[in-house]
Amino acid sequence: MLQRRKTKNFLTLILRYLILIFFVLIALFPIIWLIETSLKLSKQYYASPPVWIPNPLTFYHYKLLFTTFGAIPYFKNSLIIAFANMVLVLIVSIPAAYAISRYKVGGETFSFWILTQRMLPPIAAVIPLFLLYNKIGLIDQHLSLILSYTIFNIPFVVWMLISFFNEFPIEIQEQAMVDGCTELQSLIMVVLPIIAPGLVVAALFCFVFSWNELMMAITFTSTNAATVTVLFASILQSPTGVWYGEASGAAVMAIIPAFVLTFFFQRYIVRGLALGGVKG
Amino acid sequence: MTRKWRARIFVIPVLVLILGITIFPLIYSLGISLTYYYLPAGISPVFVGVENYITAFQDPEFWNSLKITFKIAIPALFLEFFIGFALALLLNGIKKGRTVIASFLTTPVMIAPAAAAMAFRLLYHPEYGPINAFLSVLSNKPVKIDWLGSPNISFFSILLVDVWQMTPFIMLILLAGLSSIPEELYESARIDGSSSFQIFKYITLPLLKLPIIVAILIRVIDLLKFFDLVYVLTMGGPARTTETITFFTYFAGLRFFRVGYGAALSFILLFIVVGLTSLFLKVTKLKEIA
Repeated sequence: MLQRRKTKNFLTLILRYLILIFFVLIALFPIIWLIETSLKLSKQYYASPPVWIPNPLTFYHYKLLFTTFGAIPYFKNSLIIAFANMVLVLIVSIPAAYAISRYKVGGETFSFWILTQRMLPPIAAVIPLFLLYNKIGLIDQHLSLILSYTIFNIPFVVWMLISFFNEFPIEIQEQAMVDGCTELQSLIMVVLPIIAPGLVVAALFCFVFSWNELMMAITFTSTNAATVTVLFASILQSPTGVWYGEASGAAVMAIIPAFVLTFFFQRYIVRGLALGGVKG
Repeated sequence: MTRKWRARIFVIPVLVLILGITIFPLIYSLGISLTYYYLPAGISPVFVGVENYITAFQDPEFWNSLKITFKIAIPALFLEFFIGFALALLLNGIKKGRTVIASFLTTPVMIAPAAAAMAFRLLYHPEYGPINAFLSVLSNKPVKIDWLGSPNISFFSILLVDVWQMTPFIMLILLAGLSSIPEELYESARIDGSSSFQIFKYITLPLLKLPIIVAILIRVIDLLKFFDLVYVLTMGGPARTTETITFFTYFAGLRFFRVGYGAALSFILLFIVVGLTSLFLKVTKLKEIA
């Protein structure tokens, strides 16, 4: 009886693993296919039946991407915009989250109001911002996207930081203040270094959200400040036909930050996603 | 100066940014939505009252986009929720390799929707795509389904990409909820002779209520904003069968530059999102989401 139950449990366990591995394959296959396509010769991705394993591997599309398609400025723009937005968001969100967590500034209404900003459909802000940026000459400037991405990154980071500050034992900070620190000093020199891992994750999420964004990027930028997502949207709509290898290469490079985040910060991701969602 | 008073200064920068980048533009847009404003004409907006809103409600293309938004959102939500829940339960039942498998399953969540769409353009290709090739091998005859070009299935092909990307999101949130349920609860229920189904119904489900609500709410809000996948995969086609409300609004306001009309449409969408969210929060009696 016990023996039979053990065997049954063992079989269910095996079945669990098999189903999970099946889903892992589904999750990974599109990404693997994307990487393969970027490394295939064109005649191998225009093949029916498809070539499952590229042979030979070629970096030709990446070369073309960086020469003919001039991809470097797009990556540079994405880096500048995502990084500057991240710094801006952290600078304004850290004091705000601290004040809300410690002193309940504005009460529950204020913190909830900040969170509700996340419900806003981006298109509702994109139309007026386009007109306003047009008036003050911010169209196709990096600043337009650096400012616009605060719309979804501020609510996200403020809420994530509030939860970090709430969990922080207030006694440690009070001890520092008894030892002669001012409150600001204790915040900068004692509290922030201790919650640093959390700050890093909030910052990385910010970075990825900005990096992935499409609608604002195609609306506010065209050449000077255009980002990576704009690049492969435009490769796909190229009048000279679809450059699958190059577009795949651009997409592969565009997913690298996300990969880093997923694999190195797995345990923080649940909290981050629950607060932020992913798509704008 | 009291400390609390000083703390108020700390929130000023955030407040200024939110007021400047979100609230002011929204008020400005509300004003624009009450005008006739066609950008290429080069004339100032003319006040027309609620005419743009009336136009929208009489516009069959608006109703079409609204219908398509829900036609995509509802099946996507169901598939994401049930597959995500099942995966969370499966993961919760194993110990070895749980983190590794969870990491692999989560890869799609963080990548740019536009990049995911790019990957699926390759997979869905009728001639050279691996999906049709795979189906051909399975059915032993050539399969040439035009996943994105056929009006009857294009909306489904698009929503499958969202399911691929966002199912792990639901899985992660529910898994976090599941792993916070103490093992002793299950043990004592088992000793009392409860079946697996009873345990699921009377212990797991009630304790998972909050994560379930949070996960569904976030997905509903995001699915109503559906845009990136449409832009990269179909551009609303074929024959407007994948034109979601955000996509329709984007084209009206920012491609054809009927700015007043676009602004009005975006406010209708805003009301739909706020309305559905408050209704959902009321029904589930949930005041705080975090």
